[in-house]
Amino acid sequence: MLTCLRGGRIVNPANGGERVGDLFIEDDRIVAQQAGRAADQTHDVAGKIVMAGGIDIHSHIAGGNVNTARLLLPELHPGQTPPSRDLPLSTARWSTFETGCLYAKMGFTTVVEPAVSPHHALHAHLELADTPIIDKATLTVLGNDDFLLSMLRKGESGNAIADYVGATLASTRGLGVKCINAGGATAFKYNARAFSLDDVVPHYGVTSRAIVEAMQQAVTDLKVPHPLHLHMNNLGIAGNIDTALATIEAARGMPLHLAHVQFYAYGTEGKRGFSSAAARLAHAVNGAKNVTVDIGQVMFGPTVTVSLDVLRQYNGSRNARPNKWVIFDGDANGGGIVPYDYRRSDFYNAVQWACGLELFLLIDDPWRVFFTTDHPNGAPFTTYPDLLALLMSQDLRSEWLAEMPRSVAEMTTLGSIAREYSLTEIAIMTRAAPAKLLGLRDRGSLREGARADVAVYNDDEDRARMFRDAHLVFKDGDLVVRDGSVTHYRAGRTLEVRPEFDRRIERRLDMYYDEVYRAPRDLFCVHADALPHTAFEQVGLRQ
Amino acid sequence: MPRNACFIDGRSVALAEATHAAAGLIAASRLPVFLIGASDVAGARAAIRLAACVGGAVDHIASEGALRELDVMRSFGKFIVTPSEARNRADTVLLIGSSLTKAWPDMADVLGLAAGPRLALQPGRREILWIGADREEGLARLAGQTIVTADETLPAVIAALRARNAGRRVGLAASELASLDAIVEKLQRAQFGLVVYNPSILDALAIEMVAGLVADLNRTTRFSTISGGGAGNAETLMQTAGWMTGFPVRIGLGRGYPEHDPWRFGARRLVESREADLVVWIASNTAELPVWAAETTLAALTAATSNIPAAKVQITVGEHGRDHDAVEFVRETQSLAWRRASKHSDVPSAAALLDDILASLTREAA
Repeated sequence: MLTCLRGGRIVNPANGGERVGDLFIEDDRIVAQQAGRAADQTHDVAGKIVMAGGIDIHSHIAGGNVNTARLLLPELHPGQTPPSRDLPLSTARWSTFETGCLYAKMGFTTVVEPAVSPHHALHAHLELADTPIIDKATLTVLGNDDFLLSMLRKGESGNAIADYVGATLASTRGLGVKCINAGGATAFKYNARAFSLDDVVPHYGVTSRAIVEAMQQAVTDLKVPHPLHLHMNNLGIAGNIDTALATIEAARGMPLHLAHVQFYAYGTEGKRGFSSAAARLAHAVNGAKNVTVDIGQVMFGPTVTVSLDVLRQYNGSRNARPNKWVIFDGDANGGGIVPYDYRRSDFYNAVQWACGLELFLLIDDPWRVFFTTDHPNGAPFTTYPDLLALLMSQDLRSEWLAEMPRSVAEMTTLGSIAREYSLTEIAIMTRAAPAKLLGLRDRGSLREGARADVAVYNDDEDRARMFRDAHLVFKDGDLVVRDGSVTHYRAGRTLEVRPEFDRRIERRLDMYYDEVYRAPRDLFCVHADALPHTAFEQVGLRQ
Repeated sequence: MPRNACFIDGRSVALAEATHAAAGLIAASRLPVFLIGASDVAGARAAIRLAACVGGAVDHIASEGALRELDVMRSFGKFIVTPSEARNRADTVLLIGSSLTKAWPDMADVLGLAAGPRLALQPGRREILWIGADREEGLARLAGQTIVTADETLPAVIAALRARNAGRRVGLAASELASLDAIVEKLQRAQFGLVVYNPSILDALAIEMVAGLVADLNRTTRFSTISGGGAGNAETLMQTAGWMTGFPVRIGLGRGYPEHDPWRFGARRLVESREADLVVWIASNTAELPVWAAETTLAALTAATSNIPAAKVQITVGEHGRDHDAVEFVRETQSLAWRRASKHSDVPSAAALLDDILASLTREAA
């Protein structure tokens, strides 16, 4: 079927910038206008904004720790709206079904769950299989696992480490690799209460820096498109700007993605010893072309922090709001679930909010800064529309800032920043750049041949309203959202990479699992047979 | 009885007829309760989808114990460790309560209690401590310091232990205090400690006391816990319900959206109060049907090969992990894990049958 979106303002920075004109969709692809052939279906979108479907590179939407958070906090998400008959469980708050629908309503069509520990990968994929409409992908977490740390202790070759990483990506069906406080979770099991870049993991004798370097190299050697995705040490601590700057230096010019950097942009100035160092971090990012970052913006309201940085989560548990938590000493990273309520009137929370916005606004290149709240850690992804509005309006930011403690303005530079994001910059940050970062060659763009993931928005002065309820959303050419309402479910795909590696590592891993876990490794592998409703799509390796 | 047997009122019928009859009962029911005796993820998922369609309630026969553990977590908090991490790291193990090996027969082996921790900084044997010890139990030969007490007085001993660990005074005889203090000293010397408790002899407050003791110990050293009972198959449903509805069981979907209420949606209460007029019993192993479940109309999807006289409709389903591949929660790994069918057969899975029923009801409604 040929569909025409007629007369829209097409914002397509990946290919040609902005133009007013028609966009054609045939089946699941964007196509050129067909000479002499009338469209089977035409939507008049004159005056509306047309973009590729949004891509979220870092949102904790599935997995064992997310599910524990659901069970820990039933009071956080009571629902009282029955769904339509065609969308069962779509109004069940915080369910996978609701997640897929809410993302689609906002015009997002691909989401990456960024923290899947290998032993819970099957669980994560089962949840993603029940997340309708959107395409999904996972990042596999390594860097606190006994097998890797033992390899590093023994000084094994980069090739051997790459084989291990490749085999683990294959068995977990991941799109990329992430390190979360590399070595820190293991050090916590040896009673460390703080862990920095050059601290040594007890028993293994390796530093966090060495782990990160090894993982960066392995990801490069395996030709995985997405660079190592790093959750640095010392998250959330006053003065951790030094950690962030040292980590950027430690990348040695190699590609590196730094996750939710807002949580690392803290100085120690002021009477409370807590200030924004976002300007310094932004300056460093601007100068390090090998580095990309996502922000992890804080927005206000109750949420829950879900992280495999178990050391940080333990330290944060004393500030839990409400006062309950789960600290999971799992295999490798484990994890921690700590509820939290970010308050506008709280000096620290307000500085965090300002830090995130400063980073968005002071990092020059929208191709290297990514739009996240580290859902749900900084805020639920449902706050995205409000955040987009803040990025696009200095006046709106000033209004918000005026409602916060006066001392907040003194500890940040936010009030002095005039920059307002354009629609093109928004489209780069939420579409074109994520596709490039993840190696998704047919997404994030409206060029001919691209996947027909398309969002159409009303050009509403109220940008939050505009981005909350898209006018139309097509997933693979299928119209799934009309005027902010999901019309029907469809199954999304799961994206993965399959790098080449020496298969002999698998035999070694089998023996290791038999000995250490006393269970066949197969038990932890993600078999397609276990996911009858999941269609996997291979993403090409870096050339 | 053949493995594909189906009955209506005890009369042997074909699968299609039995499935049609079960669908009819569900469609006609005012409030069906989907009671799971055992299920894999696919079965749990199908039951929840069907319950969402018809406005039913969902429960598991082992949910009471699982909810007791969950209540501690969601009112206080918990440290949890996997058995493999505990085996590799714990230099000190505090056992709490008797009958631990009854609740978890291969516990000593899984936790490697007789061996030393592989990843400890200082290799050596584990220190095994036991309060509420049972000298008749095999574990006794492994334990060093022990305190024998009756199940009824065990919570008070846990409380006293927590108090002594916090440096508080406790009104006990000197000899009892000495025993407690000896254990406290060893707990505080641990590099990575493990507490294993038997939840079947502890109420929620006592389990919370254990969690509190472990939280206190973590101020200076590392400690974590493993429940010696484990929620068993209920955890498979807990996890599946968590992502599908946002809530753990017990769940009601009568209002069109999920509600979680351990009292309102308890299957036994729903049956005994006559609020529920149909029990859909789902057991893809040989889980035993509770007597009270037959007090109302019963549709049974069970892998048990014996006739259930009380069932209006009975359909034999495959045993998950035996007749068909399955994903279920595994205590040893604390995760959902994949099991290939050990003896693949054509007996339909509970999930397939429930999906068929859902499809037929959806067709009728359209």
